[in-house]
This record gives sequence, C-alpha cells and structure tokens, in this order.
Amino acid sequence: MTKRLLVTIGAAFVVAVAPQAAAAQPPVVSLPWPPAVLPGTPPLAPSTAGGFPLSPLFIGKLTCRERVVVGLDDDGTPNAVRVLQTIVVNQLGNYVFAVPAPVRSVLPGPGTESSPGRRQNQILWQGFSPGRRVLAAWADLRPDESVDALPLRVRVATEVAGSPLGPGDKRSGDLQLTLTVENATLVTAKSFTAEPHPVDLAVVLGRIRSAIRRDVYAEGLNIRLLSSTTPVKARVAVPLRVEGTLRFAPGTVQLGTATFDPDRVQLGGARVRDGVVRISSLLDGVQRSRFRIVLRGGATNASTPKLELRVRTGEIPDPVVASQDPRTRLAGTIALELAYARKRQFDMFLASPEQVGPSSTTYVYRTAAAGAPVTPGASSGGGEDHTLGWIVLGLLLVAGVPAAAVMWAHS
Amino acid sequence: MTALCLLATACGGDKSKGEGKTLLIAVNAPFSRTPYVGETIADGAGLAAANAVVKTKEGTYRFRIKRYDTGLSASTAVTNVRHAVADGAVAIVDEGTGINATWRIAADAERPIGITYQGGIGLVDPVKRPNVFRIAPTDHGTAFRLAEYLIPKGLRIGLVADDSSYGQEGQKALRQAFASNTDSVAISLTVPAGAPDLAPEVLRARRADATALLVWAEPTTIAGVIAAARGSGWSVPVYTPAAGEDPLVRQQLANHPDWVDGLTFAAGRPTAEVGPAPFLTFQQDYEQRFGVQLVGVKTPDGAQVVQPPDYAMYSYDFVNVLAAAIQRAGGVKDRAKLLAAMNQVSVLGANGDQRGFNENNHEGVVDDDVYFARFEGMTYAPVKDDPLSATLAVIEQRR
Repeated sequence: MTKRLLVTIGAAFVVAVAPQAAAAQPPVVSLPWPPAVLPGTPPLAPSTAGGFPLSPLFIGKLTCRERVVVGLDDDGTPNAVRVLQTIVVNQLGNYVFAVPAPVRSVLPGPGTESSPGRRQNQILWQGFSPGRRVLAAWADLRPDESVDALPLRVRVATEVAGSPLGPGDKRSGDLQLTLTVENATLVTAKSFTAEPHPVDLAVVLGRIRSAIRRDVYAEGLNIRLLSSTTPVKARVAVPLRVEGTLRFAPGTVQLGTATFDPDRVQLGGARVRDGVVRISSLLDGVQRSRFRIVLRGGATNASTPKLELRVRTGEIPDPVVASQDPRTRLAGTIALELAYARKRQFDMFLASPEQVGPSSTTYVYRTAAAGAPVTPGASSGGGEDHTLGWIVLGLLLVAGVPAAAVMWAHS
Repeated sequence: MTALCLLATACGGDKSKGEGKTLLIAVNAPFSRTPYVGETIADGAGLAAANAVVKTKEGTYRFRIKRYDTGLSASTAVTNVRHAVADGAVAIVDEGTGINATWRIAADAERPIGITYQGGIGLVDPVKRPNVFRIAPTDHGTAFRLAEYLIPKGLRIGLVADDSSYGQEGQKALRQAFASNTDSVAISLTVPAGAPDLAPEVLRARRADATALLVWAEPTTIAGVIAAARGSGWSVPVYTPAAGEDPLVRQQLANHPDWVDGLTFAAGRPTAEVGPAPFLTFQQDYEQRFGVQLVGVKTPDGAQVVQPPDYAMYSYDFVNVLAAAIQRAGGVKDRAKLLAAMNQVSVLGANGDQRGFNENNHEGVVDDDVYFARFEGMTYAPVKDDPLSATLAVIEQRR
C-alpha cells in the first residue's frame, strides 16, 4: 500500500516537474550552419589544393578584393575565367599562405608589392609585411573547374535573315537577338522552424546584422528553443546587380523594337543605325531570377554584338520586424543568415586567406574569342545602380560616323 | 651495358647498412679557395642528409653527401657535375660557380641543382633552367633592400665592387637598385679583388663627397676597404652584402677590432618571427656534429667569437626540400616527376620559415627576408631602424 502510494506520488511528481525542468533548460541549437547546408563553392576549392593555415597574427588584419573577368563566346558560353585578387595585409610580420584555385597561370597584379608563386591548384604568397603590404595576382583559371561557380548565366542568340549568326559571320536581313541573363545563385537549404526563445533570437539577429554591417562572417548563432523543431527547406539566393552594355557595330543595325520578359517594355520604336543597349537590373534570385530582352530590327552586314556585364552582389533584404510573431522572426532571421552567407560566398570567388574577413568581388562578363586575353581593363557601365527594375535604352547616336565604326572594328 | 649503367644511375645510389638505399647528394663548392663557404655548405647538407629518411613505394631512402671542389673555377665545376652525374648523384648542392654551364649537364640528366650561396641575377630561371633552384638571398633582393634601407638616410653612397664574379654580379644588381635614385650615388668604383692597398680608390670615394660606402666584394676586399678608410682617419659608415659577415673580414682586421665596429651587412635572416628557437635547435645539432666555428677573434671582454651557421641552413633546407619532393614523387626513378615535385613541396626551414619552390619561382629565400646586422665588439646584432630587422632576435656569438 505504502509502496504503491510512493510510486503514485513519485509519478505525479515526475509529471509535474519534468515540464518545468524542460522549460528551465530549453534545448540550445545553432541556426543552420552555412558550410553544412549551402554548397561548398564558391569559393573555388580544388580537391588537391592543400595549403598553409593563416597565422593567427593576421586574423582581422586582411582585406580581399576580387575582379573576376569571364570571357564569353558569342552565344554567352564562358570560355575563360581570370581573377585579379588583391589582398591587403595590414599587419607587421611574416606571412605565408596559399589561395586554392584551379590555376593555369599566375601573374603579378597591378600594384602588387610582392610576386605570387604558383603550385598545383595554389596561388602562393610568402614574405614580410612592414605594416602594410599589397598582394595582387592575376590568376588564369581552368574554365571547366570554374564556370559552374559563377553567379550569372548568359545566353545570346542572334539571328539574321532567319538563321543564326555565328562568330565571324556578317550578314544582312531581318535581325532578332535574344539575350537571357539568369541569376544562378539560388539553392535550397535544409532549415527548421520552431518556437524560439525571444531574447536569444534578438541577440542572434543583432549579431547577424552587425556582421553584415562589418562585412565579416556571422558567428555565435545559437538560440534556445521553446518547442521541438520541424524541418523545412529554405530557398537561398543572392541579389545581383547587373549593369552593362550590348553593342552592335556602328551602322550595321537598325533597332526597331525591344521587348522584355517579364516586363514587356517597348523600346521607343525608334529606328536606329547604330546602337548601344544599356542594361541595369537587380535580379534577386527568388522573385526575379532572370530577364530576357528580345531585339528586332534590320541588319546590314552585321556581325554578332559585343556584350559586357558588370555584376556585384546586392544588399540582402532584412525581412525581420518586431511586430512579427517569434516563429516568423526566426524564419526571417534564418533567411537573413543564409542569404548573407551565400552572398559572402560570391564575394569570395577565390578564397580569401582569412575566410571570415571582409571581401568583395566584381564579376565582369565580356564577349571575347576563346583563347584571346580577357584584358583587365576598366569596367564599363559603371556608376551606381539607380533602380530596382531594369531599364533598357537604345542609344541611337553616331549614325554614319565612320570614325566610330573604325574604332569599334579595332576594339 | 649502357642500359645497366642507366639503371644504376637512375636508382641514384647504393644499397647500404641493411634496409633501403642510400642516395648520393653531390656538394659542388670551393673547398680549397674559400673553405668557410665550402665547409658551411657541405656541413649543412651533411646534417640534413644524416637525418633524412624517405619511405616510398620504391623503398626506403637515406642520403649521403660527396664533396667536389670547384676551386672557384667554372671549368672545374663543369667537370665536377659530370662526375657527380656519373656517380649517380640524385641532386647537386652548389655554391654557384659555373652554373651557367653546369645546369645544362644536370638538366640533361634530369638532376636538380640547388644553389645555396651565390645570388647572381640570371642564375635561376624556372622557364629556361627548370632544374635550377636556389636557397640563398638573391643579389637583386639584397641590392634593393640595401637601397631601400640606405636611400631614406640621405646618404651619398660610394658604391665599391671588386672585379671578382661575386663583385661584378653585385655591381649589376646595385646599378638596378639605385637606377631611379642616382642622386644618392656619389661614385661607383671597381677595384681589383685581393689588392694589397685600396687607399687610392678609397680616397677617390672620399673626394667624391661620399658619406657612406657600400662595398660588394669578396671578404678580403671588404677588409681592405675598411682598412684603407679607417687607416686614413675616415670614419665613413660601411655597408656590405652577406660577405661582410664572413669570418675572414674580422680575421684580417683583428689587430684593429674597433675598425669593424659599425660595419653593417645585409643577409638572409637567421631567425623567423616564431623566434630564435628553430635556428638555435639547428645550431645545436650542427655544432654537436661539426663543432663550433671559431672566428679567431675575441670580444672586448675576451670571449671567443663563433660564427653562427647561417649559410649552412640553406644547404640544410635544400636537402630537406629534396627529400620532401622524393616523398611526393614516390621515389627517384621517375626523374621528371621528381623535378616537378620540387615545385610543389615546402618544409619547415632551419630558421622556422616555410621553405620551398613553386612553378613561378625557384627562389627559396624571398627578397623580403633580407635583414641588416651591425657589428659591435666583433659580434653582430640586427639593426633597430629597419622594420624586419627590428623583429629579429640576437644570435649568441660568444663562447
């Protein structure tokens, strides 16, 4: 009797106390860890690269800037990838580190204060920094191991008189050009939903926002949960700002109409002899992952146009507001975390020696014959992006100016 | 028969002492003409060879060295390299004399050559001479570091080189280094190597209003310039490349120890940022095996002065890089693979630095690693007015 009573009391105690104990120590979980839930590239990481760990002396003392120049065939297929990586060492001391990359060749970059070394799948740096040292290298990459990690896909189809215009062709007749530009950063990542501890969530959200402001990797993203987790899938993409030009040889085309998918914008209907189409767009990768422009007109002894696009990662939208319920705020926080992590991947096409530090990358897609040097010239279409949409303007100038034609022919 | 000989050569050594094979490393250096340089190179290589064991699919390899004396003669160096190849040497550690001819003999036999003393421009070229490597400060790097150090001081420099190949290579490098700062150069002189009296040349520099002398020459010439300057009462500061730390300079000035004070030389740093521990460990091993190298002079308080084995660490490092490359190549039978592997490996050097080569660069000492040291009381210490040198520890030189 007494034993049964004790068991009953004990069971009642366990039932009564257990939830409180659980409530007192809710499980602590990490937000989805980007290296585990996002693709490994970029940055490019050839399997046999190896390397040297960065000395702790330089943690927080390096910045990295990259310019990725992608050579395109006339149909938009990448045929060359070259990267100018500029690392600034802001510390006194010896440095030795290797940047993994599928390199074909490595040359000193502009302004470099040391010469880069090259090993199989490595750019090698070694020397002494007297307090500040600029290390710049042009790396020519193996395209087949690089193009899949690029953020943008480009396709160009040019038809004159009803048949495709190929490299070196010059033809007259009705012109139709279709340019398709697609944000290729979208991935699906494993995530979860749950009831978060509101204070922890606020702290973690603050850390992510702070990391974004400082352009560093977000760390310390652990929260207590007040419920069990439910697995979900998250779509993660990086907004891309795309600017550039599509140029026909002066005097070879008369552009009639330009239509756009999805926006269906009419291009003035002006008749032109010479034309430059300016492109400025933000592709967020989720709501709008691509745009297409279709140009129609007439061609006179026309050849394939020259495309140059300058691409940078855009601002990550922050969907979290205080009025949301905790679950929604958690979902927004995770979305912000993963999108920022994905953005950092594309801001580091080649790995920075300090992968958690500041880095930025500009991608330049440029029509260039395979095997031709993709010159590291200044970008065109520079300046700030002014709209979130995209605008195309046909510039109708210089009709019949022979000098312009000569210049173009020699460009 | 020829095939058998080739096979024996390809195996690169002999079987000895039970397990594995012993690979021969040739040391081609001027043992008779400049014993300090020759012995230092051979001892450094010998120390590494004694400790290195490489286990590959081909078997276990150990190493031994064999000395070939060039006597500072290019033609003798050529003969030596032919003999070394015939002897089955897996690689050649070289002081640098005659490299313009010897590299081709070694290349034909697919043997790596590692220069561990001379820094001449053009001796190393990864494209034209893919089998030639160097672990030693380059003349180019030393000259530019000297220019970088001296020009901001506002000195008018008298550049003095002797007519030895070492001096002439250095003069070439100095011309490049000072090309865009000719205002800093008061006069440029070539003097005869080993001349008994350099007073007239030193007087010319003084009359050209030089406020410093930069002497790129053999040790005896450096000592001669210092003696001529100090003997005439001219307290001009004297700067040199690594030859200034050669014991011979101090030995020749032993009767006037104060004349050595202030002599500043540029050389590859013996210690890294991790501190002096790696070099001191290397020095201890070196001295246990070969004994200390007494300079033959004393400090003002009567202590014996010893020469740190700084140049020995270069040949030591080269042999270790070679061993690492053999490991990576899986042995020595595929010579081309071994040469390619030389570009892909690094080892922890005797001074704690990473040491290795790459496809773009066969220099194992980067130009940044040139430091400056100044003599005081027959021993030297890193200077404090250069960012790199100021980070380096003093190596004890008293016994």
